[in-house]
Amino acid sequence: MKKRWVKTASWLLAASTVFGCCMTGMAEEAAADPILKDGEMTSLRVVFPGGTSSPASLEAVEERLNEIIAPYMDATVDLEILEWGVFSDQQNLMLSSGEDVALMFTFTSSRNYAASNQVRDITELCETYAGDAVEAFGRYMDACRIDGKLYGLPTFHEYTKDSGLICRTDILEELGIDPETVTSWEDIEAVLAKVKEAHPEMNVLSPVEVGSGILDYYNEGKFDVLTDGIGVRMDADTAEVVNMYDTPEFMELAKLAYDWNQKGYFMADATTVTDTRQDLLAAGSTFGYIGQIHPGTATQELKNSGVPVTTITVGSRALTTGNVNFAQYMVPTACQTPEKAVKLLDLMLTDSEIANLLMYGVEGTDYVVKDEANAIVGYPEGVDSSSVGWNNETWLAGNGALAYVWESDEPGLWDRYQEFNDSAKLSPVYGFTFNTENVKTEITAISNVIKKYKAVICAGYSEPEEAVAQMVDELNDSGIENVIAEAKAQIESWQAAK
Amino acid sequence: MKTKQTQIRNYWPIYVMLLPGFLYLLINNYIPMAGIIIAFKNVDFAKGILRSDWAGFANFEYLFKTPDAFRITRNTLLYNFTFIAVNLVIGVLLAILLSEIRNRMAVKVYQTVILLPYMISIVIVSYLSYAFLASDTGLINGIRTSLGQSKISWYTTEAYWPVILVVVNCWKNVGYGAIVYLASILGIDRTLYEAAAVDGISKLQSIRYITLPMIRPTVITMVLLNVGRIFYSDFGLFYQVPMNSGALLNVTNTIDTYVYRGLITLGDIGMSSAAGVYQSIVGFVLILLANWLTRRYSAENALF
Repeated sequence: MKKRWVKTASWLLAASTVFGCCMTGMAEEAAADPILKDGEMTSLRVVFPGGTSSPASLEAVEERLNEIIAPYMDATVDLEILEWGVFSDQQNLMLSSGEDVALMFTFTSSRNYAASNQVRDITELCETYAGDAVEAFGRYMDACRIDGKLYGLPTFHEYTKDSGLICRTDILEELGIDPETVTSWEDIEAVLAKVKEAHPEMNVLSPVEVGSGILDYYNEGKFDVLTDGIGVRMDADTAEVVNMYDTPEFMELAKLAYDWNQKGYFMADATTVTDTRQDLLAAGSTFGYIGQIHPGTATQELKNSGVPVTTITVGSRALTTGNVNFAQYMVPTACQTPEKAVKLLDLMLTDSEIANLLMYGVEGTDYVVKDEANAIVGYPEGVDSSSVGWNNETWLAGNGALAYVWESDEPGLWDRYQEFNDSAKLSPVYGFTFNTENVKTEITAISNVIKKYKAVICAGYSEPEEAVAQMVDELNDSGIENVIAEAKAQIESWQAAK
Repeated sequence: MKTKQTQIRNYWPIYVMLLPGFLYLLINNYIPMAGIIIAFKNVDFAKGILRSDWAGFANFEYLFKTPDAFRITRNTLLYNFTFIAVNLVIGVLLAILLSEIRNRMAVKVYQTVILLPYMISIVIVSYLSYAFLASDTGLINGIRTSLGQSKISWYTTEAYWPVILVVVNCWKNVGYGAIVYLASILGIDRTLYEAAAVDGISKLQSIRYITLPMIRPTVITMVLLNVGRIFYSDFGLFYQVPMNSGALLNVTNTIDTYVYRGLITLGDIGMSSAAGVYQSIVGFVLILLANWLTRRYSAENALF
C-alpha cells in the first residue's frame, strides 16, 4: 500500500517538475496593478480544514468574497474545505503533487514544507502586496520568518497558552467549589479528590487528545519546544537547550501522574481510548481534563461538546516561535499566481467584512447582528448550531480580531485575546526556527522513543523513576545529544546574525 | 523469426487480450520504479525530483543506525515467519476438513464464514479485538471478574501481544489460504482416492499420501509469494490492532510502523521511499533465494 503510494506520488511529483519549469520565468516585474488586474479571471483555491466540506452557505460566501476582491484583482475565490479526518493526507498530496493552490492552511508541518520548498518564499511579495498585514502583526510576524524569509502569514489566534483544568461547571457548583480559589496544582488535586469522593463512578480526568495520556500539558509554558523532545528553558535568560525529558520538571510530571493514577483520578485505558474528550464530556462520564487554555476556550468546548465547562488556569504562558507560526496560510510553490495569492491573504487579514464572512458566513442567513454597539452577533431566528450554513474556528479564519464577537462570548473578546498574547513571556529564542535537516536520522528514532514512553508516563502507568530513566537512556542511544548540539549551533549563528 | 510471425498471425486475438494486463503492469508496476531515485535524493520541490541534490545513502541511515533498527527488523521477520507457518498449517487443515464435508450447502456456508474476516477492514478488526481486550468493558476482563480473577491491562502488557497478533492475523487471513488450498484439493483426480480405497487405505493415509503431495505445488507457490513480502508488515495489524499503544512498542513496532511514527513529524518523502526501496530489495533477494532452494530440492515446483 505504502509503496504504491510512494510510486504514485513520484509520478505526480514528476509532473509537478514540468509545471514548475514553465512558471518560474513568469511575472517578476514589480508594478502592482497590471499583475493583479491582468484581465484574466484566475481561480484562487484556498484550502483549509473544517467539519464539513460543503457547508450550505459555501457558494454565497464565495460570491460575496468575489465581490469584495474585485476592485483589487481579477480573480475568483474557490474555498476548498477539507474534512479534518483527511486534511493532513490531502494537504500533503496537494503540496507534493504540485496542484495550483493559492493559499494553503498549514499547521505543525509549516517548517518542513518550507525546508523542502513545497511552499514559496513570499518575503518580497509581502512587501509589495501585504504591507498592511505584516505591519499589523508586529512582533508576531517574526515567528514566521525562517532564516529571515517569510513563507506564510499567521492567522489571528492565541499565540500562547495557559495550562490548567477544564471541567464541568455543574459539578463544581454541586460540590460548592469556587473556581477562583483554585490557583495551584495542589488546589486542583483537592478538587479532583472531592469529585472522586462524590462521583466514584465517573472518570475524573480523561485524555486531552486521543492517545496522549493525561498530564501532557502539565509543563506548558516552561519550555520553548524546538522539536520533539528538545526545548529551550523559558526561565533562563540565555538560550539553554535541553532534553525536555531529562529535566526535574518532567520527573515532577511523571511522579504526579503516577500518584494521581494510583489515587484513581485517571480514566482507565487512557493511552488507548479512542473517544475524544468532547465525546466523553458529552456522554457525562468525565469530569474534565488537563489541557491548554486561552480566552474563549470555554465557549469553544461548549460548542464542541454541548457541556458548559469552567477553565481553571495554573500554568505559565510562553510566547514561542512554534506557538505563533502554528497556524499559517502559505503559498504553495506550484501556485501560478503568487501575487494574487498574497494580495488575497492580505485582504483576509485586514478586511473586516472578509473576516466576518470567513468566521460566521453570510449576514442575515447565517448570523445577525444582535448588539451593534458591542459588535455582537448570534444565530438568526430559527437557526442553531446544527442547521447553520457556515461554521468556522478563529484560528482557521484569517483575522478574527476584525470580526464581530459571538453572543456566547463576552464583549471585547478580541481585546482579551490581544492582552493575553501580549502578556506572554517572550522565549529567549523567539523568532528562531530549528532546521532539522542534518539530524533527521536521530529525530526518527527519537519520535519512536517518545511514542513509546510519553503517553504511558503522562497517564501514570509506570513507576516514574524507572520509566523516566529508561526513556532518557533510549533517547541518549537515539542520539538526542547530536540534536541538542545541532540546535545550539544553529541558535548561536542565529543570535550572531540578529 | 518466421515461426514467430506465423504464431502472432495465428494467435493475435490472444495477444490483444494480453495487452490490457501487460499495460497495467507496465504503467502501474514498472514505470513507477523510476521513483526509486527519490530514495537517493534530497527532495527539493522547487527544483523538482530530477534536479534535486543527490543524498547518497543518507536517507537509509535511520533504518540501520538507530538502536531500534535491530528490534524492528527482528519483529518484522519473526512475525511474518510465524504468520506464514501458522496460516499454512491451519489453512491446509481447514481446506482438508472442508473437502471432506459432503453436504454442499454446509460447505458453502463454512467457506463463507471462514473467508468473511478476510474481507473486513483492519480498523474494524481492531475494534473487534478492543471489544475483547478493553480494560473496563472488554469481554475477557468481564469473564475474569465474574470468575473472581483480577483484570488484565492488555494494552499495556507486552507479553501477551505476540500471541494476540498471531491469533488475530490467523483469524483474519487463514480463510483466503484455505479457499486456495481447497480449490487445489478439489482439482485432484478422484480416481486416485477410489483406487486407494480399493487397496484398503485409511482416511488419514489417503490425506498423508494423496492429498498433501498433490497440493504441494500450490503450497509452495503460496509460501514463495509470502516470502517475497516478508519484509513488509501489515501496517493495520501492527498499528491499529494494538491501538497504537506506546507501552507495547517493543513487541509491536515493525519496519512499517517505525517509519510511519518516525516520519509523521518530518514528512520526508526521501526517507520514506528509502524504507520502501529497502523492503523491496530484501523481498526480491529473499524470493530469489527461496525459489533457488525450491529448484534445488524440488525442481518441478519452482516458480521460475
